[in-house]
Amino acid sequence: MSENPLLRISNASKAFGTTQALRNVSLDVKENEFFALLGPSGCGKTTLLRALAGFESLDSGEIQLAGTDLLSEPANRRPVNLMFQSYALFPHLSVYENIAYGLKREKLSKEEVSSRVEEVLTTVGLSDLAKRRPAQLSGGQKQRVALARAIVKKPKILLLDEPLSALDRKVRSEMQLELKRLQLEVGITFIIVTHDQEEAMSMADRIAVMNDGEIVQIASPFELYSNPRNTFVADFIGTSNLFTGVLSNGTFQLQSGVSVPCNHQSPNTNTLWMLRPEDIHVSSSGIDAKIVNSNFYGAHCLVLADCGLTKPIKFYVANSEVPEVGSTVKISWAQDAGVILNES
Amino acid sequence: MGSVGKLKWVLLATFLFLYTPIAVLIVMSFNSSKIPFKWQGFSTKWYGELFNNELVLQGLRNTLVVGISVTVLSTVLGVLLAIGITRYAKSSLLEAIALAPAIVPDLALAIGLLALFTAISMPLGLTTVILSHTIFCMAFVAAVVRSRLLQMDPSLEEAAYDLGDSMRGIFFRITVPNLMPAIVAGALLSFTLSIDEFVITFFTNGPTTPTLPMVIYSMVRFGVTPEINALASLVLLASLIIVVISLRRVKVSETL
Repeated sequence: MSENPLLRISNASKAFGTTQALRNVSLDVKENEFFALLGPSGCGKTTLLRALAGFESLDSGEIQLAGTDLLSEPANRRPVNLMFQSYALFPHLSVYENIAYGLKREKLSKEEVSSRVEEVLTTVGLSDLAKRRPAQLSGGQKQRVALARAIVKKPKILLLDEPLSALDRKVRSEMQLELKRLQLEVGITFIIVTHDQEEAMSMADRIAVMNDGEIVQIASPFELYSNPRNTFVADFIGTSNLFTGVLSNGTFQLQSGVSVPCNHQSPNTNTLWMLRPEDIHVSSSGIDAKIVNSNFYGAHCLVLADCGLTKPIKFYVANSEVPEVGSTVKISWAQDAGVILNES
Repeated sequence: MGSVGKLKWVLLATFLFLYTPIAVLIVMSFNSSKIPFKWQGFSTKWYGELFNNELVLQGLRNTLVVGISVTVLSTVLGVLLAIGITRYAKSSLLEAIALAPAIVPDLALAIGLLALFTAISMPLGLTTVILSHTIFCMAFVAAVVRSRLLQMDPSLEEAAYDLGDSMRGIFFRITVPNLMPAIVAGALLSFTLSIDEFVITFFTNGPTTPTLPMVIYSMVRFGVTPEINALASLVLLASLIIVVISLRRVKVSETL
């Protein structure tokens, strides 16, 4: 843990009835960081976000923001703002009035309110739409208004609850870049909740992967991808081939009895080995793989091949070289490819 | 095609059945004859006479006093009731109990209220009528507002809280404006229900403060006069205007 984090969550726990939503969650977020809480639905990430915003209390644990206790403040006095998944724009107010709402509650002068609203409207590129009602905006525009309404308050942390889930795919990828640009421009720490690993990977500086109320791993996107701590992370982040078997003397004996070369060291002999699809190549020698299926992804194809193991092996092939379904090719990988996951 | 043609006649007959009495009422209110149901020529004299009839004017005044008071009271209480049962009631039984006065038979409510007022020795008059009307009108307002409340995104209020507003500020700046179409519809509904309510008024009113429906009833006992037709036509017109306003109001606000 770093010396002086902006936000420090220590041992946060919360139960709803018999469901444990958070189990001893501890994490630090640094100033100006783009931090993501990533996990499947029901993993507790939204509960944690709502606890930060002040809409949920914790059963136990502490949250400190810049060294002061955050939990003792009610939501309307926390220097933290939340961008809601539904955007929650006030339908009876114009874009301008929506954005000015929080500033007016701070009892700022009219001039200051209007200059700050104008400024943030320019930042998100909506100056022309100030008089519109939310119902007259597109999904992407609504999202910008919601974002503007939150950042105009200059919070220490901006919380974003599944900010892109309501947008269609094309607008979503534009907004990913936009969010990243805005975060650098306004210099606010962002904490984003998402179930979309691609979204988290493309935007966040660091990601906390959550499952079943617990933090499984906190790392940079690159570290999570190349060095997942366990099966859950390996499976959740990206596409992976997981093998269960016994590791000894440069070979990995799979459960089905097949032995493949593997040059890793591990304290356990019974272990899990993860190979990313891009580690595997079609070559002149190696193990036999019968092509079962191929899925077109634009730049390449994801091929599923039966190698006599319990599950088909997944690997990428360039579009021009896709083997026919039903044909048999040989595949191989570098001896030190992939990662050994330390769990039996 | 043939069966659809026949159905058209059924539709026409239904409309005829529904609207003939109203048409007769309006036409006869312009009848110059003193015998109410025999046409003798066009005249508006009965409308003029209405405004010289002290009893009718007194009834109208009482009805307006009751109608306006009931509208204000039942709207305020109904909105609060709707918020209470929607947000805080854990059981649907409580909801049913809260909305029941709208469907309890008038007669049962009327007798119950009379028994209550007598038991606590409350003198019967406009106050007791206002209280009684408020009870069932409040349930109607609550029902209308509740359905709007259920459609409202709960994160709107959270967003306002997150942006630094107080609970009170959220209620007046976010909750009420978003419920406004339903509040207006509920208020207009209360007013129309109150101004022509008879059964409950009959049981809970005192002898010196008759409302318009009671005045009409006592006039009818001595025979239907064209004056009554004129009066009923005016009541109809007033209700119609209110209904049109409320329908427009709701539609306009829903396009927001």
